[in-house]
Amino acid sequence: MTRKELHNQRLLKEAEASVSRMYTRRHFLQDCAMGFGALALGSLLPSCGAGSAGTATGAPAFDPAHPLAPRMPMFAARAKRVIYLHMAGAPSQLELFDYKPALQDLDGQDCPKSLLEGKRFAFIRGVPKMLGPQAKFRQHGHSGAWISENMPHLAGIADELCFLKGMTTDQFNHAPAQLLVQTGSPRLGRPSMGSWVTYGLGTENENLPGFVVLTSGGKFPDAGKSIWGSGFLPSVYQGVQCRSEGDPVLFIEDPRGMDRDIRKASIDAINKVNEQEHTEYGDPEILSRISQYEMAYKMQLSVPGTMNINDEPAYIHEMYGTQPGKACFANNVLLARRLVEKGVRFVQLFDWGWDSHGTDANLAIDVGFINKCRQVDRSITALILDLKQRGLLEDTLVIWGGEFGRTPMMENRDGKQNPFKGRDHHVDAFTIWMAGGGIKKGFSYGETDEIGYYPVSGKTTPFDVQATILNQLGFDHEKFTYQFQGRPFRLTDVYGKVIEDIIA
Amino acid sequence: MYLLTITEFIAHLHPVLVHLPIGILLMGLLLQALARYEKFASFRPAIPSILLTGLIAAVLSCITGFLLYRNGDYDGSLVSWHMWMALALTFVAFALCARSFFGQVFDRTGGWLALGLFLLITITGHLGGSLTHGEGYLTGAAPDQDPPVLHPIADVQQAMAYEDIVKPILQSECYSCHGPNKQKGGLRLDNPAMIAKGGKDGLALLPGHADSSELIKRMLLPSSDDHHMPPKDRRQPSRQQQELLSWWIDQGADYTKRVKDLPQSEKIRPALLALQKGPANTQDIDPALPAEPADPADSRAIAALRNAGVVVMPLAQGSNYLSANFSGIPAASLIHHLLSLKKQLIRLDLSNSGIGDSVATTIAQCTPLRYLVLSNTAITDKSLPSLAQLAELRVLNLVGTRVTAEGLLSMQPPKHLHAVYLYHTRMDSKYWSKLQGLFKGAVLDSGGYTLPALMTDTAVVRAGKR
Repeated sequence: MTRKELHNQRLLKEAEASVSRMYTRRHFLQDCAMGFGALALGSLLPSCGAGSAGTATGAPAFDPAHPLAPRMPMFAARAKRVIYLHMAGAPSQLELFDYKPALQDLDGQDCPKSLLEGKRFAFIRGVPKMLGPQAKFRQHGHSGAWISENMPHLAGIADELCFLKGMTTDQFNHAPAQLLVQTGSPRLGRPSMGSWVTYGLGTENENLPGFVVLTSGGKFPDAGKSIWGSGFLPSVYQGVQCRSEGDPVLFIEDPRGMDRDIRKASIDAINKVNEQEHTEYGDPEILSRISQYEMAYKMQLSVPGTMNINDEPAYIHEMYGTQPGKACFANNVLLARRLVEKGVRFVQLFDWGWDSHGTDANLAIDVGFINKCRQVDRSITALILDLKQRGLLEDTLVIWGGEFGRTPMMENRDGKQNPFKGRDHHVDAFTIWMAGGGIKKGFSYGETDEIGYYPVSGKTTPFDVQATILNQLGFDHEKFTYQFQGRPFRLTDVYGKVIEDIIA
Repeated sequence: MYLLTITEFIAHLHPVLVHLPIGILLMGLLLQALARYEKFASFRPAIPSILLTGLIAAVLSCITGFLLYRNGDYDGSLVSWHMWMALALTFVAFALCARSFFGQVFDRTGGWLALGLFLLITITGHLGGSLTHGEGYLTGAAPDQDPPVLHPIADVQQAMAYEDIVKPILQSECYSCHGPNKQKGGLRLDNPAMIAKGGKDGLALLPGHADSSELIKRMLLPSSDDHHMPPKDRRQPSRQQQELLSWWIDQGADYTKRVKDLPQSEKIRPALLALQKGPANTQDIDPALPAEPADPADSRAIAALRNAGVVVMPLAQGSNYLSANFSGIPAASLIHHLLSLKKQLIRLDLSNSGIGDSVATTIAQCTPLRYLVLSNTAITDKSLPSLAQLAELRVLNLVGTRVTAEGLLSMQPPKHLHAVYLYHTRMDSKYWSKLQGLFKGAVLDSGGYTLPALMTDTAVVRAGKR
């Protein structure tokens, strides 16, 4: 007998043993006792405790037959939908929204020791030079928001935006920092925000996925597909990545020679078999599978239609600056509006290319970064205005931001001067903004010190942002949990506080 | 986290131990009453040992009770009455127990002692209960359940900062544990001298520094923290109440000044003004829902709508207020179901549902409606007078309908209306300023935004020579 056969035999024995263990009299009795006890406890508990007037609290009930059925929030929501514009790579707040004239005076000087002691940077080594703002700033709108020349269109709608300038994080590498922003943990395995939201609220359009992801910039975000994964939530809640070029979802078209009726007949046949399986074994996952077949069948019709931007009028294309037929950010932004209009709950856009280290021209703060800004400026502004004119901004929350900020120092990779001007990853201060969804307009929360190194007031974290997003959607982030591995998990782990000051 | 000393630990057993003498002694009294009759004579030998066990339990309860009393969380007359009654109880129990060993419980003295013991158990037990749960718990006027009813302040600037604002908050949120009957942690908050004195852990407040004051700090701790106040299973003060307390402490925690004599930041004004509308003692009322709860809507109508694909959802858990989303579903034949939801409907989305002016009168009957989306339907000016009857309406979305400026000008805008969306309607821009005059306080958005073509849209920056 070979080693492999021995190994297989042992596995088989273990499997048999674990099956037979389930059927001993003792285990049967134990299971029954536990089962009845749990049943009794379950029916007793809701009647204990003050204030439980027969209403469910905490996590929504998961119905495997209708996993995406719409569900009510805990309390009345201010937002029904979310568009998260994630600028993967982390844009520089110092060239966009956080104006630091004092930093200009320090330009070219050695960074003071006090700022470097006890600090770790991704690439900066030794003593770097300070780098003044590489863009001109001006105040805009009644709110007087400082916005740089890099985003001239966005500057025109400053009074619609709410800036969070005291953002901090504790992850200085892209993948963990992106995971932290989107899943509440720097490590893999947690459900993403979009998954939590679709799990909590379901979707109001059963013909489309509840959570759609669109990427641009030529590269996936560093954290990979896990940032829209469902983690330990049922997999039906993971983000559906749609492509903006070619078929929006791969293999969505019926194969050649197969018409819609045959497709329907085959799915009906599969579901019939699955239903028999379910009556026999009663496994809820089978119901889940049946519903997914049905959903896929419906989506075959609705997804290609929704994802086709060609039926938008010319002035909308012009407003967004789209490039039909190409994969680009502007197309994705227009798609995002179409999706939320159709009732998609959570749309996540990732745009790669914001990592302005200065190692080459594309990653230079005064070259590539400006081009990145120009690529997104028009479409983002168009999105806010378009949502606004359609009345959708009332209950659609838009968030724009990266996973961390950039240093007020010029990057000196491994102690040597980089070929272009660039900034390293900075965890202590960055800026994001939100719009719509019951958030204050023309408002700025949080301030950084004179050189934008640390927040001096209104310090916020990704957990606070997540708590605020859930709050706007009608969830108490501390009570919105999912039971996994013996304990309740939540998006914000044990952190996060709703940023009450920015709520309108 | 500090550890309890051994005596504190023993003292904390008191609330558990007290149930033993009550139960055991009452059992003894019951047997004693029954055993008078020959039919139950077989009970007699059990009586002495039961009474003795009860007596021992009573003594232990007295000891632990005294230790708890000495820890200082309680004082006032209630607790001393409780103590003396308990001592009397123990003494009577001792007398009865001693007599029982000589078989002398069935005579006249034994009967009186038994009656006395029964009364003492009742009184002591009741006093103990009042200490734990607060006075009035038994009769239902428990402070935890019902906050005292406060009346709106007519003019908040003339109000006394402490008497009229701070004290009612402390009264409804704190007194039950830090008041005349109970002083958890040695802290009593029901008069200025006691507030200034603080508790076992030091001062409760630092006048002028709310953020450093223990009173505020503990309210701001996460509710899961052991030091969070009020304890997480009690009613929590609203954010507004916290702000008012912080403001009062920041302004020096003065007991005699009027509100108008204290500096008021922009931040505190709304909270102060809100007092004129009503007391700040209720929990934050969800501003997205009407204050008064609704009755459940007709479940058959909801089911009928859901079967047709309409998304009908409660707006919040535990609320009967509803939202209905018809988006994209032909609604003409379903609209009559709305009449069954007319008292519950807050949000109604009829976009792309193919409806026309005939539904307006039905919608107008949904009196609590706040958020109405009629975009991309055949609605015209004819519907507007009906829609104007919706007194609670906040948001009206008429995008892609055939309404005109003249139509809007002829309607009386609902009082709370704050946004009207008019993109892709038949608006004539010459009426614009007139319209804005009529819809004061609301944002009118006729859309049609364009973005200028800028050099930056297409120009690409390239690296210069280096």
